Amino acid sequence: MSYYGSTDYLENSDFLLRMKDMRKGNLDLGWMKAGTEQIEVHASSAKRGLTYLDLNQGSYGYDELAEIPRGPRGAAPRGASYEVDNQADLGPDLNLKSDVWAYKVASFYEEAVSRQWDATTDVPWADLDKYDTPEEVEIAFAQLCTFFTEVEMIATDLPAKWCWRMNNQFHEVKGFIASQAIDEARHAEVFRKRALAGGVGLMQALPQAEHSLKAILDSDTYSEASAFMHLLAEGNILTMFRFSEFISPTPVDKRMFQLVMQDEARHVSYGLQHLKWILDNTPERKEQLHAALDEAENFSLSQFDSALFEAMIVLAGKGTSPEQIKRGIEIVGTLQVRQVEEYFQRLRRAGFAERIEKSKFRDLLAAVSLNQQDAAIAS
Amino acid sequence: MSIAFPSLEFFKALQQRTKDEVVAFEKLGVCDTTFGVRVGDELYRIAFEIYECTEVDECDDPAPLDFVLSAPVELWREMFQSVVENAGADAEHTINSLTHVGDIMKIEYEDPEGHDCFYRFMATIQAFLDEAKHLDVDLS
Amino acid sequence: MAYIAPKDFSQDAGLIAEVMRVMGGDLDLAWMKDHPHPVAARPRQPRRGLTLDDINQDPNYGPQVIPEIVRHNFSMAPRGAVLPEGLPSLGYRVNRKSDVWADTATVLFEESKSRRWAPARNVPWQALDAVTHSPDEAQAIHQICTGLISISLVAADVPSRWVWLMNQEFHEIKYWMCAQMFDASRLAEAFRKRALYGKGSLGKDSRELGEFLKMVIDSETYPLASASLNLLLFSFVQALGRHYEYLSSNAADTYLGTRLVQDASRFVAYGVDHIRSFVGARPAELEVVNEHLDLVENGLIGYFGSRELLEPLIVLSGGFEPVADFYRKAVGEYFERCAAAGLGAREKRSPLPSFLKLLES
Repeated sequence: MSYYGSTDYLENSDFLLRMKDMRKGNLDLGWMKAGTEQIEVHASSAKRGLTYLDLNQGSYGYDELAEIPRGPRGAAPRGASYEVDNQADLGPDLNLKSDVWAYKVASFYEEAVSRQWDATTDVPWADLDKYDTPEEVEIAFAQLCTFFTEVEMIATDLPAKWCWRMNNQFHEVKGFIASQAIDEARHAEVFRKRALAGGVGLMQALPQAEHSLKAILDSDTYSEASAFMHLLAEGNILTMFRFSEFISPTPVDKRMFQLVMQDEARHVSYGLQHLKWILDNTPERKEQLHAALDEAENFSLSQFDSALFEAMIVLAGKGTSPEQIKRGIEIVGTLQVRQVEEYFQRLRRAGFAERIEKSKFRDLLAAVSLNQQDAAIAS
Repeated sequence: MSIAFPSLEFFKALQQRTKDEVVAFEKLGVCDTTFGVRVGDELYRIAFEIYECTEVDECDDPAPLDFVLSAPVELWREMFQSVVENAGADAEHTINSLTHVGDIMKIEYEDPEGHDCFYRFMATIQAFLDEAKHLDVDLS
Repeated sequence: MAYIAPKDFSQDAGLIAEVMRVMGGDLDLAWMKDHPHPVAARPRQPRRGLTLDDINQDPNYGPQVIPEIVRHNFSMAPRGAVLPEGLPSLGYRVNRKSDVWADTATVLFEESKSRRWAPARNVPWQALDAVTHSPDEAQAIHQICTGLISISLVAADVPSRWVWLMNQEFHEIKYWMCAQMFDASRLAEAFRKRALYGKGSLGKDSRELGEFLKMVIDSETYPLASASLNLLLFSFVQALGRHYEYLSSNAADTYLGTRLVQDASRFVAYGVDHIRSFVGARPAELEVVNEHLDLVENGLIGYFGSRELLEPLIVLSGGFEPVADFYRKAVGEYFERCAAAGLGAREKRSPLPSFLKLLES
């Protein structure tokens, strides 16, 4: 199964002759006649430094990159010279720009590199001892952290599943995907650390959430997976991070959520801009995306896991007394509505407003609305 | 009063600089290695832990050290002269350049993984040596 | 969609009833009693922060709890969590601890985050404005950078190819591989920026380098891919970083060379520890790894002798002999690491010594 090349160099007379020649100082210097374009590049902003946006020129840039880059299938970087028939074919599967591209992806990559942080040192872990969190709140927080630890790695595994299949012409996207992989690994790390630092430890894994994760990982195409994961699932998680920052039991936890939020927002933005790119450039793929989101929304609905939602209610209400639970339900109900509203907003911004009419979440919104009316009548 | 080179006092002064310039060294990242600097016949043991230099002393046995940077005293003087004159080693006097082709400065080691610590933390070690630019050092 | 839900949940009466129950205030709270392994980990050294090794001190959560063959969990549930009925399999293919494990991975992951850098701002690019390379030298640097970009792109792809197939029980290794993906992408970025800065250009693709990289990424198993990437390829990349820094005449290239060395060294350190653990746990695999390297080293020989690498190195180094010295040193250090990894005296079976003989006049 392994590939071992087409030449045994030490048995190859051309190679041996070449080595002899070069040892004698007879250089061919054919690479000096590569015929590649020369450009002039400087940092357009000294403060921002030298970015990929500054390199967006001519044959090296992404603006001139065609929807179908015909020819390159190897490791040659975009703009280098290569011979179509003489390159080592790495067998990339994603070869259309619209398969992977997103508006602003070069900016997202630069932002990711610039805003890396370290879960080990940037969260003031030792300060946890300064705060006395009620046991039931800490338990609920541990359940929430268990959930986040569980789900964050999908946003590492899914991009990784597709990254190596992308043509090397799309290096800005591949770089962004790699940055997402480390971002999400760091998120899993920080939530695991928080769960194990709080005195409770890890709690229950959630089967319903896991089925959603499996559906993301098993998506048929990268774009379907991206719509499900970046736009819908990470959008939901971003709203949960904002919620969690709001109800964090300690300033240490607030700091943690502030850090993860900025990464998650970047990933959601990439998903939105990728969807927009697809719709603008290959509108014929709309129906395929509708079908994928039909099922993605269905899986998202199934994620109503009582352990998770009860934990969120306890956290939001800051306890388990009837009054606290009532208050918690109000806040969590608002969160659920906001998750759907923000998802709809993102669909609109991506130019996919027609999706809203078909969305299964409309039923959920109606049900929540009915529930609120019932509660009002009962009270 | 100037500090003589080579001397334990000189390396202790460099150690103190890693504490004075804590932000700069933290920015370079963690550095966990204990290595040696052999100046002629003298061997100095230099320990880094987390971000800063935690211990400096003279020693006889290089075996527990990850690696030893070894050169005649004249070469070390030349290197530190470059550090002082250029506010940091010039391109020809970085520890990598001196230890690369030609082995002008030698890297002694028994364990290849200890040797790789030199490469992993080279930027911090270079910054440590470059701190000589802030010292009043007698290189005569 | 390859994985279809068993029902339309928007019409599922059971689910709606469950939502109504919880949101109606009838909480069960049974889950609150299900935390069998309480722990309050703290940084053992506050300045170092809370490390993976700190949270692994508790035996319920540390890697010592992972069996050699994982049979109990194929979901994304984190190691040490309570595993209820009904967790699906996510189809992991790499479920054997010795296939992936290296004790040093936790430290290398922490080190990678701590020693991060950002090419856009941290490289002193303006130092290149005053550089007076001859046109041939400038082109040679661009050619070396072109090769380094290709290497870095594939170096990000190799962990990408395997990490999603690995069981979540090995999360430390997965974190580390994500760090590798990011580190490699950053190197691709940095050397692309170096090649194009000022009056810049890229050079020519190398057929031999492409073939070598294809051998690395197409390695049949993860341990073989790790031996090819981390031990072999990155031993050379580390050496090339040293040579790049050695040839540097300015602060920007010095910075780039030094960072290439430090980042590559983490790949090498993992490779040595991983392969040592692998052949230590499964001695029968020793010959498999050695045979694989016999063949992939042929790919490195091709790249060593390619005009797109050797000629620009000669132009920059002032002749053939300094490059030959550099190659000898790189190969020597690689063999030392192979020995440290438990692969024995590879110099006795490797094709690389025969190649080095070709360099002798």
